[in-house]
Amino acid sequence: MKLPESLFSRMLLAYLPFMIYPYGFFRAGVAALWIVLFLWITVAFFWFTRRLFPDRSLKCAFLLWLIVWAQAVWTLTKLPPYWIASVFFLAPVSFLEDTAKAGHVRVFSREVPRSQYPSIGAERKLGRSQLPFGKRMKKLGRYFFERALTGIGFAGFVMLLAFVREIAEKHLNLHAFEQPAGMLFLIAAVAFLWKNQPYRRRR
Amino acid sequence: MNIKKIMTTAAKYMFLAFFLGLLVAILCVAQRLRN
Repeated sequence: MKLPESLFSRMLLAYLPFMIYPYGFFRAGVAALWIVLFLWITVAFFWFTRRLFPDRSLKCAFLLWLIVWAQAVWTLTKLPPYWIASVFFLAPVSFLEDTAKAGHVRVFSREVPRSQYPSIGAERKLGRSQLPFGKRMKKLGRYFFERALTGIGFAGFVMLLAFVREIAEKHLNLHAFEQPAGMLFLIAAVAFLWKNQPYRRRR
Repeated sequence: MNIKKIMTTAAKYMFLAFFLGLLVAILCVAQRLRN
């Protein structure tokens, strides 16, 4: 399956299960925090152990890990069973590949120029394990910083939307916000307009 | 196939077995905590 690479698209995908939760602001925030916490645990676990698995079984192991945790957390907390879909959508694309390196976060599909990351070329020349220690730590730091940013961004996004829904429904009496699907429609409209902006004239 | 490669493969499969055991343990603990 081809998943979108940009952070914002993946956040929207991960938000889709929230559309059918009958949650208010507080419970949506708690659910988002669970999801983010679990995303961080998953990403950290597989980043350190992915070389220890037999090559072919890594992806199956990842899937099993997700299913088992979905079941376990579902029995323990009152989260609905498909909370794991959000984690799956938030997990970075192809981070299980052997060549996976600390990518850059792409917000709104904007490319970051490659020249900003000189360590990539050095890695290709030297091989991963021969990089200087400082550089390796820096790569690791960047990797976890970006994952942390994804998590915080998602939690903030969910809380913002829940908050907007609360305000618009209770205080402004906007009928579109009564169902989550109405908000999905508005989000889709905004995304469509964002994607189809008129070209800015260069000066 | 040299001995190092065989050892590496064996270690990888042992880790896989450990991982599966860990998953089963998680399920058991969750079930236990619930009851």
